[in-house]
Amino acid sequence: MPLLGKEVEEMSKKLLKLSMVLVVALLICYCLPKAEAAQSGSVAVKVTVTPSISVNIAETNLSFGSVAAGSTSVSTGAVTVTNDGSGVNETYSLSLGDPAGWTASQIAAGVETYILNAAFSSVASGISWDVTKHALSTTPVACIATKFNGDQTGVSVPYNGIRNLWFQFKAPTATAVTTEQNIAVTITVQAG
Amino acid sequence: MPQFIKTIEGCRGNVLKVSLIGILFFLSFFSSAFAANSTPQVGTISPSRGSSLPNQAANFTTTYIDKDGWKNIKYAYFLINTTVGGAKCFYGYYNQNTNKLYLRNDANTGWSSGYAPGSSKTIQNSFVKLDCSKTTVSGSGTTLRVKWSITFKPAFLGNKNMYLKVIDDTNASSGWAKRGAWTIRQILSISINPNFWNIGATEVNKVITMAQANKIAVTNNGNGPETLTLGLVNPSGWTAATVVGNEKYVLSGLFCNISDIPQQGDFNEDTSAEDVIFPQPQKATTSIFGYRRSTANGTAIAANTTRALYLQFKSPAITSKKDEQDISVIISCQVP
Repeated sequence: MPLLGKEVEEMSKKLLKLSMVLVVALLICYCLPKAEAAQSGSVAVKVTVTPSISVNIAETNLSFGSVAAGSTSVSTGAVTVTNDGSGVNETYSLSLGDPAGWTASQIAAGVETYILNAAFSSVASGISWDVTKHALSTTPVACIATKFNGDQTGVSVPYNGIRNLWFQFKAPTATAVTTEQNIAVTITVQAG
Repeated sequence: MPQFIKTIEGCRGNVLKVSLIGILFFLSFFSSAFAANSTPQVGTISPSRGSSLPNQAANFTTTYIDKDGWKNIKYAYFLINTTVGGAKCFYGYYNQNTNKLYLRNDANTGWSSGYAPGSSKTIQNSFVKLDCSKTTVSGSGTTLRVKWSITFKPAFLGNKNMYLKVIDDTNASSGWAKRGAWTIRQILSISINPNFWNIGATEVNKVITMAQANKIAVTNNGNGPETLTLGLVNPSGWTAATVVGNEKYVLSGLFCNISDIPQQGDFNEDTSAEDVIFPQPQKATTSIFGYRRSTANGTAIAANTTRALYLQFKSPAITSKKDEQDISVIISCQVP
């Protein structure tokens, strides 16, 4: 067959294929159901869930036992503090209530003056117990990255997040009180 | 030759002539009296396929063929229905002998009065209208041509077939023949008012049921029955669920009459979760998004009819989201 004839034949075959594809495509288009597009609209439901903040303190009593005047003791265990609020992050503040006859200091222990340091940490070892960072006062002080921190902090604790709170007690250098003293430590919570 | 012989020959010639004329007359008479009648045939419909909207005139040209001539046609029928049946559809015919158009009634029990093509008359039943003023008829050779001007009513929605039949003056019939298909399209449309529900501030683990003052009116403003669907778009960080949980909320919906006031316990009372709205749109049924004590629901809502949509929100048991959350409830409609 002459070359021109072959080319014509090839072209005819291609045209035939193209025509068949076109016919099939047209048939598909024609046979598809002519559904009208469903119309729709929307309703905006707006709601604000006010966060509920809460903290759980597992151990409500921590005993240092009998200590000597002017001595320093670290708690034998930590208090477990859990964010059990409505889901928001929480930042803790710490404060204490002086027992009768004693006064908390944020500088040094003295006569009828004690220091109670606190730190969030998984373990007690490694806590600096620097009074400028850890000493509690009767005024609540919010945790920051460098306040009451060990290897943990009380800052932006997530929902269900657990923190371990350790204490160090520096006894008065001299005291007339010989009975058991109760120092109430308060953890207050704010969202964020 | 004797005279009487000539006379006899003359008589024989006349008899022969008379006989030939008689035979020709006889053949002519019988050929016309016993010629075979051609059974008429239906032709075509133009357009043979397509669609139109209700209350919109559609023109169809139908042809009918009789080899004995178009004037031999007596009745030219045109039927638009799902099957060959004359009830609740367009079923009309043209009487060629009287030049009149007729339309069958809803129940297929009788014909309308006849009106001439071009006359200022509209014949109608509950499903269609035939505008005689815009309907024309013409004949040529063997073909009768009728151009019908038909308007479909909203009650006649959906896919239909088109059939023709023709009967001639000898009552010979072509029988019904399908010659096309036509769709009367439905316009789906809804309006929503209002399009918001501001719950305001709440707390975790709370259930808030929409008050009557906040109900959402959903109106079918299409041209046929509609069934509603509900879906939603979750706000960032929250997930719709059947029970509340950590960052999981529950939003339920009920379609009912405008006068109904569903209470908290009326939601999800069939299977405990049938009224819950999820991102995947769900079609309303008598149970799904249905209020047991209402006579209305979200299914097959007639055109120009309104339903009330009541929503119920259950806040997450736990959430870190303190800002306003925006849940977009999507209401759609579809053919039932």
